[in-house]
Order: sequence, then structure tokens, then C-alpha cells
Amino acid sequence: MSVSEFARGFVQGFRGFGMFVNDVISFVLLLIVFLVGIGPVSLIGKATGKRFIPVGNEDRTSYWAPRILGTEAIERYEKQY
Amino acid sequence: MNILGVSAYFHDSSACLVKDGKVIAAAEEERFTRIKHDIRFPANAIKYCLQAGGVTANEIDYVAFYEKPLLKFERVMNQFFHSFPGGYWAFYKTMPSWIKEKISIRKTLRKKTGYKGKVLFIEHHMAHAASSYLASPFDEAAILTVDGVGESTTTTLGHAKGNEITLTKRLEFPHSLGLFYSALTAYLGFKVNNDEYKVMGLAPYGKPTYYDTLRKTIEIMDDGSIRLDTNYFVFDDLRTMFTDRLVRLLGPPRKKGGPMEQRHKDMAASLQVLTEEAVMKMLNHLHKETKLDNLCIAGGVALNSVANGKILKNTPFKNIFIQPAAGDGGTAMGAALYVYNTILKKEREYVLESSSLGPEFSTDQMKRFLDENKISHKEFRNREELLKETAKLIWENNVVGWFHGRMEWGPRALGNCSILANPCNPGMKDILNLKVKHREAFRPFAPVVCVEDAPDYFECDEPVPYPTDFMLMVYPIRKKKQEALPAVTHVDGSGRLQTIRREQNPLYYDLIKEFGKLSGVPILVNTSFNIRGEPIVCTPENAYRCMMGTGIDFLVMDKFLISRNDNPKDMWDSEKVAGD
Repeated sequence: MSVSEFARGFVQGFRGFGMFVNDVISFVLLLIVFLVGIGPVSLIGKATGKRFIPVGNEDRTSYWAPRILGTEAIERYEKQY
Repeated sequence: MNILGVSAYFHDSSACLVKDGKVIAAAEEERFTRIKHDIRFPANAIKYCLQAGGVTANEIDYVAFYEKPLLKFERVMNQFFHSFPGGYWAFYKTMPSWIKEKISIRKTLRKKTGYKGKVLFIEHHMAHAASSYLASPFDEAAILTVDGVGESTTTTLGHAKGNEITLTKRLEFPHSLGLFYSALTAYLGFKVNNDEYKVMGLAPYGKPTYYDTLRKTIEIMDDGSIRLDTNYFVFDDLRTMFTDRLVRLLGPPRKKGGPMEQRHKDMAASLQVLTEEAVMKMLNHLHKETKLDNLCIAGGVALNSVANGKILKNTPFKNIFIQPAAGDGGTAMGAALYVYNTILKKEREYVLESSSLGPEFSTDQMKRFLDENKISHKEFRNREELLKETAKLIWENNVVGWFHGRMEWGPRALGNCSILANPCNPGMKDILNLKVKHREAFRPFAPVVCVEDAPDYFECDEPVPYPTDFMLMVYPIRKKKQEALPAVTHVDGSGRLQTIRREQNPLYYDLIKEFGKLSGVPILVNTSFNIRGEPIVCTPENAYRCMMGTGIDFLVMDKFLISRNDNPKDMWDSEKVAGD
């Protein structure tokens, strides 16, 4: 094995290790956010009867939701919501 | 005025340039990166659009983005709130891209293109609606958009007049016909957001014996509104999409690449029947509300060409328009046209009559490529020789790669980046599958026919509807003609035809006519110039590589004829890379 091959392999290995560490940190941090951020909102919402997504049975003759979406002032389209 | 439309980060990233109200260029990112359904920021597609329009990023007046990211983010968060304590894996997988990319589109645009102007965010289904209506020849039309999910909407009904589009009704996530189709696609062992058309092709092999069973999972009202029983589906993780309860209802799911049993075919048939039932009910309700003759459809479900072919017969609508990139890729065009025509209230000047909106290469560029790579080729003396010789090669059952003009916009190859073959040869389907496409044996190949000849061979609507030009309508092949067209007649006697008008592509049109003189049948097999798992070819190099790596016998590239036998083979083994 030449020096350059060794160096290339070393760099690749180190990069792979860096990505692994990155993944582990992301996993842990996001898990904390999930448990501390998503969890309480979800539990409180569910306890108070909030439906985050419209699921479950409904006795209706139509499921169309009325919503008039037409042209608005240009400034409105600059918003991401 | 220059407006750049951008679609990114969901599936089929794309870009489109509208210059003074006309679509100058449009392309999907996958064609440049060679990654099918590439979802990344469409830097290459944007670069191409700017080059084609002869403008720089600084000369762009507005960028139109195909959705409102924060509305979508709200829906995604609601999914996590709903599924907690489950759903962490989906949270872990999706959150980084939301933080890094999806809600910082302005920053990404500035960084990757240098654009510093205004970005306008158009709601996803409005972008779909605009992509169809504002590119249509209609001054007034009813509109249906139906796909998996936009921000939180899955389906909308509306109408449009002049420059104004109004969406009046919607269905909300998770009640989605598109997601229902995708979930069953996953159950049948195919890839979600990629293989839905395979399920459509599989359906004619089965009988809808699972109709009643599947009806337990979806409620379809008389007005076409639907409600999924979410006990059977799970949409926060696209890898599965269905629950154990669906497995208990239907039996074990088919494994990817596993044997295709009759029950799978029956399920596909049942799913297709249910989809058509829902679409027809939606459209009849839409007509009742709007009383309009013209119809524009968009969204992924609008690519269901079997359902499309039945619309004019089963609804009161008289005219229909669907643009070739009816799925999410097409929203880049819709968003850009919406900004120009509707928000800025500029006159409508554009009708999408041809899908040729992608990159093209000059004769000199092709010649240079061939010479630099020492590729043995012949140069046709003139157009007549090109047509006669190519038609003869096809009639002699050679498989011919056809690379001419601008790459097509949308998922179908429509005569610029196509593989052409003889439809009269009963063995051609097997030859194409064995030599080139490596695809599932049940999938049909499509015929292309000059528009005036279409009614002679197909039981199509008359006048032939616009979407037929974009291979978006399936019609029965006339019984007495089926025997003459074994390679393109599907098991149920139907064909997903493409019609061609001479003004759209004169060379392609004349080639079909020339083939008709030899065979007595003015129809060709037209399939996309790629192998399974790869995007359609984009450059001369892609085309040559595809030919040499597969069993394509000849490549007709501009005025050059390249024979596979005259060049070194085994550049790569296409069978090894054939995927989904």
C-alpha cells in the first residue's frame, strides 16, 4: 500500500467516523426535541380532545370542505404561510 | 419580464422559465443528475432554463415557488403530534432537511443561483391548477387537482375564467386518493411515488374481485368526496404506508420482486376500478357545480391515463386538458404562469402545444461528440434518406434510439428522446424487454400515431383530446386492428396512445408516415429512451451510452446514424443497473 493510498483511506475513514458521530449527535438531540417538544403538546392536545389530523368516523353525506382560494395581493405571496 | 418557477424537496424537482408570458424552457432535475425523481434543489434545471432564456439570475423579476413551506411544516408537525409516542424515526429522518433546506428556500436560491429578488410562494394545489388551466387553450374551465398531498390539501375543485382561478372545495390530509393508490402500490411490492403506473398496467390482468373488500378502507360519497379509514393506512412513513390491519384484510403483502399472483392482479384491478369511480364522481359533481364544458386536471392522479381515457364518456365535460408534467414536476410551470397571469394580471399569451421544452443539441455539438469519442457513424445526405432508412430499419425489426430536438417536459418520451420499434411484430414486446428495458413482462408498450389516423385504429374521443398528444389517455384499440398491432395491444385490447400533429414535430410525424408506407400501418412503438431505473436520456453521451449498454440496434441522432455493431460493446451492463 502506497502512502497516498493510505492517506486516502485514512481521510475516508475519518470522514466516515465524523459522519457517524454527526448522526449520533443528531439522533440524540432530535430525540430530546421529540420528547420535550412534541411529547407534551401531543399529550396535552389529546387530553383536551384536540384532533391534530381529521381522522375517525364521521356521519356525513359529503367530506368536501369549503374553502375559497383565489387571487390575493402580491405581498401575501411573499409569506411562506 | 422573466419569472422562474421552482419545485423542489418533495419529488421530481424542476424549474421553468416564463419570459413575457411564454414558457421558454422547463425541465426536471433528474435528467441532469441522472437520479430518478431527484428531489434536491434543481440547480442544474435552473441553470439550463436561464441559459435557454438568455438571462442571468439578476434579470429574473420573480421566483415562484410551488408551495407554502410553513403550511406544509404545520401539517407535518400535526402528524407528529398525532402519532406521538410513535413516529420518531420519521421525525429524525425529516427534521434535518426541514431545518437546513425546506424553510430556507430564499437563502438556498441566493446561495446557489445568486438571485436576490422576491420569492413568491404559491399554494401547491393552486400551482397544480395553474399548470393545467393557464397552459390550456381554454378561456374558462372547471378544475380538478388531485394528488398525494400538498400543504395539507389532497384534492381541490374549482373553476377559472380569464386570468382568475378560484378553488372552492378541498379534501384534507390524510383523505387522499393519491395516497390511497400509493399505499396499495406499496402493498403490491412496488415503489411509492414511482411505480403507480405499473399497478395501472397490471390492472387489466385481473378482475375487480377485491372491490368490496377495498371499499371497507375507503368511503366514496356520491359527490366524489372520499374518506380513508386510517386504521388501514399510515402516512408518516412512506416506506410502509399500510398497517397490519390492512394485511389482515387483504392477506400478506407482495414482497418487492416476489412472484406476481392472480390475487395481486385482482387487487390492482379493484384499485383501478375504485380510483375511476372516485374520479368520475368528483368530476360529475364538479360539472354539476360549474356547468362548464371545459375541464382542466392536474396532480399525480391525472397521470392515470386509463381513468383519463374514460372521462369524456362518463362525465358531461366536452373538452379536457392535462399538461404533460401533470405531477409535482409540473408545478414549477404552474407557479410561474400563476405569478405572470394571475398575480401580475398580464394577458394570457401561452398555450402548451408541445412538450419540447428541454435542452437540445446542435448538429455541430453532436458531430463533435461523435468525433471526439471516435464513434463510428454514418451521416445521412438529406432528410429524405434519414426518413426512408430509419423507417426501413424499424420495419426490419431493429430497435432504434431516436434523439432529436428538445428533451420532453414531463415523464413521457414523446418523440424527441424515444426508442422506436415495429408494432406489427408479435415478438417486439419481448425483444424490447430482453434487449433494452428489462422491465416487468406485464407492462405494455405504447403506440404513437398521427392524429388524423388515430380514429381508424383507436376507439378514441373525437375530436382527439389534447392530452392524447402527451400520452395521457388510454383507449381501446379497434378489434379488427388489434391483430395488426400485437406489440402495443395490451391484454384488455387497449393502448396508451400518443397522437402527433405535424406542427408539433414534423420529422417524427413524417417518420411515422414513412413507416406506414412500408408496413401499411402508420403507427410505431414509442417507449422512453432509458432503461428501467434511469431517467430518460438528456445528452448525446447519455443516448450513446444507453444504446451501447443495451440491445438498441441503431441510434439516429440528428442527421447521424450510429450502429451498435460498428462500435465497441460492453461499455457497461445495463441489466446490472436496471432498477425501479
